[in-house]
Amino acid sequence: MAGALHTQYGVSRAFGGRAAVSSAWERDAAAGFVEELFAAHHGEIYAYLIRMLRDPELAADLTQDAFVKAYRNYNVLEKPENARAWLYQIAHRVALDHIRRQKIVRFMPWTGESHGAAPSTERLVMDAHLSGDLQRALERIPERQRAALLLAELHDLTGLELAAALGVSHVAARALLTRARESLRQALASERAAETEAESPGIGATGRPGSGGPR
Amino acid sequence: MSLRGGRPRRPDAWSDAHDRARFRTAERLDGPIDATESAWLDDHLAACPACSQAATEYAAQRLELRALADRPPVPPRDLWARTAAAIEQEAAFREKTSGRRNPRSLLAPYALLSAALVVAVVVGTLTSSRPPVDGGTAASSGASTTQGDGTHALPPAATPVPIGQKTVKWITQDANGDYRYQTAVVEEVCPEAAEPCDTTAPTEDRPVDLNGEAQTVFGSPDGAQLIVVGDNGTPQTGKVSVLKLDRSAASASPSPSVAPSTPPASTASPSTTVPPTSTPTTRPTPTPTPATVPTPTPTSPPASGSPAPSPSVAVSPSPSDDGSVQIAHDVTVVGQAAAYSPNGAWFAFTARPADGSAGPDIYAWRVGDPEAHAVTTDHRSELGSWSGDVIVGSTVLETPDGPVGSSFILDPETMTQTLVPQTGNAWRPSVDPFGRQAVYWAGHLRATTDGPGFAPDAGRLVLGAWGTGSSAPTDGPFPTAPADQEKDRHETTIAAGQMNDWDARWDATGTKLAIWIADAGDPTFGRLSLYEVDPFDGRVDLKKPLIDARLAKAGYALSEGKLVWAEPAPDGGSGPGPILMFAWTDKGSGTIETVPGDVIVIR
Repeated sequence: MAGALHTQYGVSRAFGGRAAVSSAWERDAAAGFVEELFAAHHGEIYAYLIRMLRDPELAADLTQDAFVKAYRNYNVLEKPENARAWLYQIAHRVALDHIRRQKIVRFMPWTGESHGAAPSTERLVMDAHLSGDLQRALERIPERQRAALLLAELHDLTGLELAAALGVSHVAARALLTRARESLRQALASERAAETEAESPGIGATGRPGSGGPR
Repeated sequence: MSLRGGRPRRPDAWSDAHDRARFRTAERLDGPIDATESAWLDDHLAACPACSQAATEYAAQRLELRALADRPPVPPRDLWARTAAAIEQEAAFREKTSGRRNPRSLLAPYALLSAALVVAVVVGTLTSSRPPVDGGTAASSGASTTQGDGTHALPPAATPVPIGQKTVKWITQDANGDYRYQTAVVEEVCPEAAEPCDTTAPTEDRPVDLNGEAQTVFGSPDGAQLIVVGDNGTPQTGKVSVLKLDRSAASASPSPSVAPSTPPASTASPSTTVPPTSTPTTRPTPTPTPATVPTPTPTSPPASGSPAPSPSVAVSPSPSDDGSVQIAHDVTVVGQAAAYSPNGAWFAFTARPADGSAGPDIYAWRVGDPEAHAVTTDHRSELGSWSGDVIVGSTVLETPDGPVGSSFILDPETMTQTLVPQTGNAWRPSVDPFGRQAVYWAGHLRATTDGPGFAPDAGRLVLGAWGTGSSAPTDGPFPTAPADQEKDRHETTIAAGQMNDWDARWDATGTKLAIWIADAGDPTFGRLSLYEVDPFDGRVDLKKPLIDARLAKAGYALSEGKLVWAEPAPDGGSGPGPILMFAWTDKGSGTIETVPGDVIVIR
């Protein structure tokens, strides 16, 4: 069902192909289309990634990756009105890929800069903006639950968009969101209890509880 | 946002009424729920202060979450410039490769990576692979598909497959060039086409001295030692060393799946140092003929040099400062078939002198001995596999039509060698754990050009019956093949035509068969497939692989429940590729991969 459509992004493009962009014409069209997408959505994609990962530089890198992937897979998007959810889906997977690799990467050598380096100024600024028991509680819940909450509550994705972005059925998306709310409630209660305990006279600051949240 | 509620959960499926109330409260925040459930919830909340409190907290956290939106982070100003540059680079790459379809041309750059330094070790019996994904590029993880009605074609809901605790071990090189031994425990894998799943695992990370460059690393079944095959291309060429792993030196908690350490002891008797493993020790039942030492005909010696009367590979013990023991040096290890015996008491490999003065022989090292010994001396024998406690090897016979393989079994304890002519012209057979069938080369051989030895010429790599052939044993010194070997041995062709090398291995349960076939131009790379073996009749359906011809570097590991291999870099670009693990249980299967690293998987 390939055909040229004028999209809300102002770029004429052919939809419906299955292969990655290959011809010179398609590459040009894809580049133009992704440029429009970037102009319209890069801010919210970056915001989503920074909220997921809490690292501005990493979020910028992964935003870039997400748009490159959008360019690479330009042909699989059939309806431009789905582009926003599609972008979120790509960004979500990019984020989870990174998180997954980080967990496995722990077993691989890091030959570049040290992981133990002092936090960057940007990171400190981010922490100031986003710190607090809510942010810490968010970090403690499973990544997919965190993604569901962020996308639903902060990024205003509709039910179908959320399901598409998460790559699951809408029933599964709703179940995930429900579990996420309960996980966050428990994590938040735990954070606040720890905070209260730390502030109690005679008890030193013991730091936050471990990062293992409910699964 | 609003989501339509799914099928109401049965009320009696909840652990208690409060659990049900909390779930329904959270669910109702996102859209209407079933009317009956909603009424029940209202009644419950009215009567339950704790659940009512939870409902209040849900509402409060939603407000708090939404408040975060008031402080949107600002992207870096150069983000578009960076992204545009990356897209341009991607476009240039696609332009360069758009006409390239020949896998060989994709393989070429990978060959340059072989000198890189990461050695991945998968301990135990492990093999990993990922279901076929065309291209295998990073795009696969980010792509979505769209259905005809414009809705997104959703991949299956990601339900990671729990696989227990499977340990992956490898050696890598840090920024200082020092080798490190590391482990990971993987507890779940991702089903095909599902989104990435999470893994959490303890690590073990410690320095290890490989005493030079490493080409291949083998892990002992008990996890207590490594056998390191030196890089044939380095000045320290061709040594085989044994490294004891000091479990107490681990910097992190060792992986739980590693067997308790048993000192490999370079001096103690192997019978006291190597506990038997749980792997089958079934001996093959090839109805052996009376022991006959194969005596190749004098025609065409294997390539350059004349056979020496004694083993020409130096095997004198050479303990080094790091405690490793060289069990062989000045050798070139030949082929991919080197392996520990199933009970871990022996390690066998094929080697020839590094100076090319003679052809290959099979060597066996008893765990704990100071050196490996040649167990063949005809300079034309190669290891096929272990079958229980005995070695299955092949020698090369000259026939009027050219060289062909002929197999024998050899007990390394007694050095008793028995011809098995009823197996026909079978070269380098890899025999299943029950001795029922084997993967072997059925055809002619040719002399290799990179040193004295043999390689497949015209013929077929086949899966055939083993040990129960109808042909009667021969009385003479030279076994003859059955008149119709293909029919007699029920041979099924896996691949035909000249090939560089292959590596076929069965898992210890005999229910999985992995076959790696080297690339025609560069034997450091090839294609790896994994097949299911029917546990009842041993039948292998070659048309339905679990893993189908995945690009893989030489050297993979197959063990109970997992297959691990190293993949070249994606997109044909420079840089290393990931280690992949395909794992299975009776509940499902899936894959997981590491970050890229140039790897040699330990077998």
